[in-house]
Amino acid sequence: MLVKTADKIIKKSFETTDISPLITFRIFFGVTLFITILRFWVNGWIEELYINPEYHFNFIHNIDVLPDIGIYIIFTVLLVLSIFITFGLFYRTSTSTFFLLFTYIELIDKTYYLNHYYLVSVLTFYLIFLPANRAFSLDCYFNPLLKSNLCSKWHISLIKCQLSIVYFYAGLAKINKDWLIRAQPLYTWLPGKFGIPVIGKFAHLKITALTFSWIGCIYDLTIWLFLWIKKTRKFAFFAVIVFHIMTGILFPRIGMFPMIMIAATTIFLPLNFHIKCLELLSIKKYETKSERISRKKKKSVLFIYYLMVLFLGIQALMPLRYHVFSNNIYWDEIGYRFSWRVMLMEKNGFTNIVIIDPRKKIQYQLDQDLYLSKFQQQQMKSQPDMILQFVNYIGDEFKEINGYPPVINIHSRMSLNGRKSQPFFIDTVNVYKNNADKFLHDFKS
Amino acid sequence: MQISKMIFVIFKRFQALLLSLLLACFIISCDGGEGALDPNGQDDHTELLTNQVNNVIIPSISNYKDATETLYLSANNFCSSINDSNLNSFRDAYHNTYKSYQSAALHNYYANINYDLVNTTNLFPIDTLLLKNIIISTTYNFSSESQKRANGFPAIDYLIYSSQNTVGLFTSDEKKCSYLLKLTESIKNKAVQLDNMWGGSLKENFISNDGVEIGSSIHVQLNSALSYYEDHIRENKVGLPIGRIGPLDSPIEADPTKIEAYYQSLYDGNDLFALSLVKESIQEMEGLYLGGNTLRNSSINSGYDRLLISRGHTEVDSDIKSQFDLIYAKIDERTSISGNTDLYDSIQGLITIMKSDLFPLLNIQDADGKNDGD
Repeated sequence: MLVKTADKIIKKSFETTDISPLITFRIFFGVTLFITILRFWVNGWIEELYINPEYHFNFIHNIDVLPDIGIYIIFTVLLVLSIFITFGLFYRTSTSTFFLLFTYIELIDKTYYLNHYYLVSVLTFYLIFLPANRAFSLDCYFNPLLKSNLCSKWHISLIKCQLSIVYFYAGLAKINKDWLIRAQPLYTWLPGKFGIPVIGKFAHLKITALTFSWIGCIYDLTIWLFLWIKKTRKFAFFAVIVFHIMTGILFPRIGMFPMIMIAATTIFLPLNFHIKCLELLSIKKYETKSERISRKKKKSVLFIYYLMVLFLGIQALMPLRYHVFSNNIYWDEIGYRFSWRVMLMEKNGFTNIVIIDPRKKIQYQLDQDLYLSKFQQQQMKSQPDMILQFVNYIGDEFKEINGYPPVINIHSRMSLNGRKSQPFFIDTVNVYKNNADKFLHDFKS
Repeated sequence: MQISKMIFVIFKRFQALLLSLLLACFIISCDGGEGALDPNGQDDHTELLTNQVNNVIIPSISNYKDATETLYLSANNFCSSINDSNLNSFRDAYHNTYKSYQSAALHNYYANINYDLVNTTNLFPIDTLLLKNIIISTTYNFSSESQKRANGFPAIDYLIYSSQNTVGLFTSDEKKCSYLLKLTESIKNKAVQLDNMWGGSLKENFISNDGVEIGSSIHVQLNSALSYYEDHIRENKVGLPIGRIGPLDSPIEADPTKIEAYYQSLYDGNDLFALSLVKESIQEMEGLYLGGNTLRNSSINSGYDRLLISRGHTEVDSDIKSQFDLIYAKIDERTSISGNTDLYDSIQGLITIMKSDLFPLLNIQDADGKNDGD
């Protein structure tokens, strides 16, 4: 039964369809990539975030930042590649190089982790294996043999499924008492938005925060369904535009997220939309006549298909890993990243690192300004893995200088989602090379 | 396609039930819990910022300016007729001005002059040898880096309290009066400049720079005030003299000479005046929090207390107010700053509450906002 169903799915996946949605996705997404990288240049973030800091919270131990000139070269190349992707030039090389370089940039420092940058990496990864340059591209212009007006249905469904995962898990994460009953963190954030027309007058009221919380949750949980359903698709896309524009106005620091989501979600729109877009962008009339090219399933094509399915499966399961590892995901943040938890909590307080010299019997509070930017300190103070990573770095430095290890305690209090603060780390535990069973206080809700 | 059709059909069939369930859950959420439907909740911070300017910042700076003018006049009186009576009048004016300074100095934001105010009007301990040489040379530059340790109130403290025979010393050395007059004039001029700035466009800019985002008046005021509180109140007034640098650091050698009005402490045989200066600065911090310098123990909430209360954080508001009470109690308990670790800990306690509760609950960030956030 399962084998028959799997066969049916595979057969359906390889049915051909018009390639236009994939092409417009490449173009729109390419434009958002360009703007994303350009913002790094315009805002001076290359220097501020990657070159100036002495220390980086790298995701992988040996992946560290290149010398200054290397970083500038990377961002220059990324800017050029985003243009190449938009225009479909040297497509495979462009997409794979962009994926590698952008992902490298993201792996340099956890401080700058953003869900939408993670999405950029994922979608760029998919693009490597999708034939999004087989029409309306400079690759086709220079090599007309490449041209095809058709692709397999799975090429388009893959992107749709990924976006559905993003929305679904963003909505699922909102099903919790803080979001739906206490209206947090929106009730902490919204009162400051009184300057916004219409909404601003009611921004300080809890009913406003509650309404927005529920709308946000229901939207995320259901919008992907309505996008899949033909009858509700247009209305759903309108809702996508309204929702993301509103979040962009309310929370400007969300940056490129609204634009990326609106651009990517166009892939759900009817074929006519994509054809009209390409006609508008065309120098000459866009040919809609289908050209049937042999779609014999080569082993390599099947291999890529299974690889994408596997990756999609991993994407579907990744957000659930906290069930295995975490006691309270908002407190210990184990499994928080890479799980589409977008704008979900406000956690703030202070974290002091105290170094104890066990031989000289003195202790001192580390001056974090000597190692970390203010932004790094702000991000680190509420994320236990970053604190422990930094502590180990400081402890290693102490050991190298003194010849023996220090004892390092963390004195910290955190306020989570509008609650009174509570002790965060257990301040008597030595967290350097921490092997303690427990180093965080239990969270009291 | 078949799956999507199925979902659509299910939704259509049960949409009434689903919507009713959602509505029920929503209504349950609208309970009277924390901060629900507060009619007093502020929809913007114009009133708060206006209170800050009219009831906290400008009165403090204006009082300081007035006091410095009186100080200067009193210095002139003393120098024109050097006797005990005029010396006592000058000492009274100095006390009053030094106390007023504590309030004005907390508001070291926006006006660039404030950097000068803090660093040239109250850097202690002074370098007595440097001061003597400057007096002899009659070359004064009260804004220069090289003379910063022979400047401001600590210099006046030395001149009028380091000897039991102050009148005699001033009578026999006219250069002391020359220096004193120039110093008090400099202090006055800086105060007048500061007062003019806050009386001009700075006031309107402060009120109009609304919100809690990075760079807003609230963000700047709270972060600057807290930074001043940590460095100049906790550390300089209490920490250094008692040998505590940073609440979690090992003790350093205590140095009782490193207090404000040190020479008066020797003269009087106690630190009561220095403690009164600490108290003035704490009272200004409290006034900032309450939105008015006369609102202590009042039922009127017009400052940051109001913001907290309107959002249901009455417990945190109560903690902050209790912490101020504790600090005052610790100040009043003793006549000396030396060994006063209880006072240090109580001052530190306010920093803990502000960083861990006040700032997060009001959504005040302490970073510079680089990069996006989601």
